[in-house]
Amino acid sequence: MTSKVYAGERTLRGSLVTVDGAPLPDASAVRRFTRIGFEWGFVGPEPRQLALALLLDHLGDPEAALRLCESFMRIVVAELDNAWRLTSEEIEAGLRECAAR
Amino acid sequence: MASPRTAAFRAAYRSQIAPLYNGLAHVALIYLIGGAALWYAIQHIHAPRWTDWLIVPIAAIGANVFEWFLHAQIMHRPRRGFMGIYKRHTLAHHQFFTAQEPFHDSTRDFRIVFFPPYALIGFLVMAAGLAWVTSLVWSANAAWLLVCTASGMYLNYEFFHWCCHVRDDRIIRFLPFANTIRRHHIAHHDTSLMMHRNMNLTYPFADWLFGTSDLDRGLLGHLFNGYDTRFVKTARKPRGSVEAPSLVPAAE
Repeated sequence: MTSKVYAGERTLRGSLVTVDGAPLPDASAVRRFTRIGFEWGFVGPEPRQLALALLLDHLGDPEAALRLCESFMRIVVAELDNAWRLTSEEIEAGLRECAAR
Repeated sequence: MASPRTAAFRAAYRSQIAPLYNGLAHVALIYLIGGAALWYAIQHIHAPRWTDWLIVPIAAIGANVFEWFLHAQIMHRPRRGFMGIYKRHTLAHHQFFTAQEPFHDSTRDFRIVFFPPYALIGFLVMAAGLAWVTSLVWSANAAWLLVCTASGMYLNYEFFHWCCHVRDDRIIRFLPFANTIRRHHIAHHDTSLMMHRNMNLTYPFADWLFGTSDLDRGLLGHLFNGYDTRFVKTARKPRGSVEAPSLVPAAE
């Protein structure tokens, strides 16, 4: 698996999330939890959308991404810093934490 | 010293402040409107009974809880219909001021310290609605005292918030309540706390009541804590922390 870098930042234009420098697709084709966009650092529809988008990009499996996104949001996305960066390995570690709980 | 990311954000934010903006005029307008509301309401109070005065602590506690709620649930959460407040606060104020660099540099930075004056007008309209109800169920004096309390609390908030973001604390560090909220609010600007902790901006009463304070102590300890850090709870370490250059060019 090729390692990717996911990054998020809050800016005057809004909250931006990228994967290897390109905007991360919002995964709304799989499920739309919100029309506002991505957010993180708390539990809610915008972090849930981000969890789904990260997992869809990472796993490439819409069904698995949807199944895991709730726990991934609570354990990883709700704990992200104001500006953050995650590698594929860190997402994988987060998924292992979700499975262990 | 501001991190490269904060410095880049500050440069971008300052570049979009209108050249004609005057920070002192901004503050003067807020205090003129609030002071006028206070003066007007006082003129209508005539021989209040002791029961009328009971509205003052009730309104002050209500304002404290409202301030906590607005900050926690509107300013730090994206909500349809309130996105302007969220953007101004979480996406601007908190990127401009961090726990490492919480101070403004000039009065032009007042643009991001003080609320726009129309926020006070909106608050006064809400207070007037509550006052009208109070006049029906309580008394006219109680209603006008409620307007006085609401105006006073708002002006108190703006002053205390400025006390948190002004660099020079030679006097503030000795001012009871002001020193407490300064430590409390600067801690709130820690990126690991900002979405969950220390949501009060005047007196940390509601943070104590709802368990959202970074302190582990009782009510009086909260109110008179000052700069004391002995009771600060151990903060969790956020995930993915990065202090890399901004994803957005500084010139934007």
